[in-house]
Amino acid sequence: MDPLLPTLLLPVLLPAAAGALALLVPGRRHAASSALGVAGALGLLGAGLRLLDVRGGVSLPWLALGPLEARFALRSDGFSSWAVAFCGVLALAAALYGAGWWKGRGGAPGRHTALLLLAAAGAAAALLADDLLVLVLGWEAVTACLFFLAVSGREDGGPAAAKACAVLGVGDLALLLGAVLVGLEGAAAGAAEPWSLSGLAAGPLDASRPGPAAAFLLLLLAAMAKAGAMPAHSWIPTMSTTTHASVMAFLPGSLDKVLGIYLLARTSLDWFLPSPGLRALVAGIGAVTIIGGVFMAMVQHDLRRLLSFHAVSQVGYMLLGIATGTAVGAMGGIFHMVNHALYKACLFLGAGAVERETGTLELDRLGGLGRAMPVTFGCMFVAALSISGIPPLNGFVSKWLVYQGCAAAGWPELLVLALFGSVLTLASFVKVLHSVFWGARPSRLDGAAERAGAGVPASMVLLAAACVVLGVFAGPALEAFVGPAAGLGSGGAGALDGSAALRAPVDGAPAPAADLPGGVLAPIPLTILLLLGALPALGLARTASTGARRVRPPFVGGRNFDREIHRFPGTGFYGTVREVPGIGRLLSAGESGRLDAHEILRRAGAPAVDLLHRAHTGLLQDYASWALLGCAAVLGFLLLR
Amino acid sequence: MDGFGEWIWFLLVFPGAAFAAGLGLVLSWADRKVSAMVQWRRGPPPSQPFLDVAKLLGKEVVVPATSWPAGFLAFPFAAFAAASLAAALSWHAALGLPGRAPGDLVVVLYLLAVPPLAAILGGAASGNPLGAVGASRHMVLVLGYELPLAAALLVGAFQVRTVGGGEAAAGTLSLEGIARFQALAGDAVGRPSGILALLVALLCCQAKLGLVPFDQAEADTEIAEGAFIEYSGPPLAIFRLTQAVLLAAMPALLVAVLWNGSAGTPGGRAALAGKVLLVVVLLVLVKNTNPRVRIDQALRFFWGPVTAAAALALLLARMGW
Repeated sequence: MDPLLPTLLLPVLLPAAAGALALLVPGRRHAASSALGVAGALGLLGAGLRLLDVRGGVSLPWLALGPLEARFALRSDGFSSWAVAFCGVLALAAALYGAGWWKGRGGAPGRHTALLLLAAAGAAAALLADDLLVLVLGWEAVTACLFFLAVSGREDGGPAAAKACAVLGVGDLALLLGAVLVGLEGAAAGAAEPWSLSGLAAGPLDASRPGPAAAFLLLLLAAMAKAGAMPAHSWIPTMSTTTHASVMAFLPGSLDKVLGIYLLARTSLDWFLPSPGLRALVAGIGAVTIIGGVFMAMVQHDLRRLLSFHAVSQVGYMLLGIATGTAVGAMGGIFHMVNHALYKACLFLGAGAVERETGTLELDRLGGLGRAMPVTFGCMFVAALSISGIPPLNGFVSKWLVYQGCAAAGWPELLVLALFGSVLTLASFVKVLHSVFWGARPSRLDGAAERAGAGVPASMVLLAAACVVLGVFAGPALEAFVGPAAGLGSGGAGALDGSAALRAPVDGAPAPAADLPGGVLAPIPLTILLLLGALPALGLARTASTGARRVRPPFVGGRNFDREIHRFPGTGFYGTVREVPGIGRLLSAGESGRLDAHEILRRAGAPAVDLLHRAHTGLLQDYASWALLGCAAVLGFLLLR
Repeated sequence: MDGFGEWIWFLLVFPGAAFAAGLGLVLSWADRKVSAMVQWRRGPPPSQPFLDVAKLLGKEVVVPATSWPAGFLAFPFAAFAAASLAAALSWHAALGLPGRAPGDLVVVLYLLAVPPLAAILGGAASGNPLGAVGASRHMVLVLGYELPLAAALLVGAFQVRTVGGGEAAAGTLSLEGIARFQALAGDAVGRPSGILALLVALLCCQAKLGLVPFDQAEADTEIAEGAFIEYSGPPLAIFRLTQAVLLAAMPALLVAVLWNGSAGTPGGRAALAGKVLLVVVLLVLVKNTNPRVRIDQALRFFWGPVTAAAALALLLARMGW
């Protein structure tokens, strides 16, 4: 047996085994399922960390499908190794949160924990896959777990789960067809193992030819559906309202993004040589996703839907970065995937904590929870600043890299749109912070407090701290992990120093003027300077002030302050935006589902579905006739061929 | 800038906090003086802005009972820190100072978004409904002007010019790189796209500084200072100082990106003072000759004609005009 095999299998087997055991935990045995959840996540994390120094893979004979031979092949390289460990971090946060959330509550934590762990195992398999069929199977496992989690969350979760299943099903079908096309192209080119991913990376397909271009587009569709890029996004907001917060945090919020962007990055950087037209298409989808998603988020009144639309919008930055065709842009896209997973998981988990204590996530019904829930507030505050790109947090660094990629690719228009998306995101989270944590607290929330188990705050603090650390110490992270993922052996940290080599456009872009320095971002000096910058003001205030401090009711035009009356809900913040000609109509169309690709296709396909419904008569002889007709068609095809 | 001492000097003294705050207070006196002249008044003495801040600094701190006190009191200091750093980076580029700055145009744009954000968060964290109204107006205004401002400033980075016999654009977001490109190819405002971009940026600057006709967020006659309604004493003084720093930073940024062909030369530095003063005087004149517009009108204005002009400027710049 190859000595690498156990090392490569452990990240899949450990969480899968813990998940299988959790399925056996009876009913409401909270402690046992929590322990298994944490153990499985730690197992994945530990096995992932062991992979960090491992480079290489194993390949065993498996299946022969016509001209295509699938092998059971796994390998660890500069991307998959740390991506698996990162999934372990996300799984640990979800497991810790679950342990705290289910404490003292009803429900079925065993099944919940099991499905999360099985999804993590599937993701590890997909990330470590060195064969397209292994990747497809791991990918499918994650989709299946998501469906079961969505359908088992609440009684009314069925339609949302069906929608998620439909959209992801189309994406998965695209992945399968893309894989077949890739295999056929490889076989036609004489490749010995056409489904081998390391073989593809060694000889990437030229996507300016029709066959590989079609395969590229199919894989792109699969990545978009998984990550939630427009127009394959609508399953995320729909399922958010009926699905547990930890599921939203772990799957659509983070793990699905990791998988989708992993596939897109591999497709664009390793397996194909995309033409300028294809890169522009991906960038265009990215820009539309950024702006469309964030506008929809801004006008939401439900915190879960708001966060879901942001989970869509942020994917746009990842697509845009990777599409630039520059190393710095690709690093930005991949780093943003990591950063997004951290802050979005933190935000979803925080939203779940708020819902646990207040019973609602309607922004109109919340307010003033900052003092009652300080840890949730603090963590969501950091995560909100991070997603808004406030320096020096991690969200800023990855967006900055994407902007540098846009500049190097000669796309100032897309750069402007990406910058604008960041401001809109900020506006949306100002609304969230005000609506949930500030303003007057309605009297019905007077008893609100953080009563969940220690796992809930621990998971959020872990994620919020990671947002700060990855922002301030972005250089080492880029050097060690993100650079190698973007195809660089070393020198990833040079992206922050204006390295010309990392900004070189692939093709088609106007050449930058000679020897001009690139943009520089020095996160550590920037952080120190920002901290120091407050000192003179603090010194002045301390020296001059009388030192007296008085607390008094707020001034509301001379009237006595009444917290039930004197409220300005955050949902009223951006009514003005709706009044701008064109935007209001677009937002209304978005909210009514008229722009939802799933809804449009569902309506268009309704006659065909109706026909199939009618064919289902329930009579045996009808079904037998259909079967006979099918057999006759197959026979006819074989005879006439 | 290699040593820690140089960094400290850069941020806290020159061209950072002390320089920018001092210059900003002098410029705010110029604003008040020109405004007074427009209104046939004598106006205050030059020391007045300094005395105002000093007096506020000596007052007691009042905290509204409904607020989140830590944030309410910390936001002014965050605003000051970010504005100082943005001013230091902008002036570093405008003056063509030696040494490598720790951030580029994008960093400056993001840092310049922090002071409005701090005011917005401070207003929201005060728990006062009028503060929340001010915060929402302030945020809508930010939404309005950031889009055209970014497009206008990128003209400096992407304007195609003839350099060494061939056509090229700076193609970099480094402020130093943009300045060096202009030294080679000429000021960005030397072309129609640059002039259009400067005009757009001036309008955005007006809104960024909260000057009439874009002072809806404070609108003392409507919402009693809006986001600042609960601020008094030292925290308000720090916000006032931040405003002064921004008044020094914004004109320097505009000049650094669009009008900076002579950066680093003695003549260029003398001209810089004139350019900054000209920008400030234009801002003050617009302030004194226009009434406040409604917030929806402001948003439509920025997302309509101003954004169209910025997009046109960017298009012209890419075409080499």
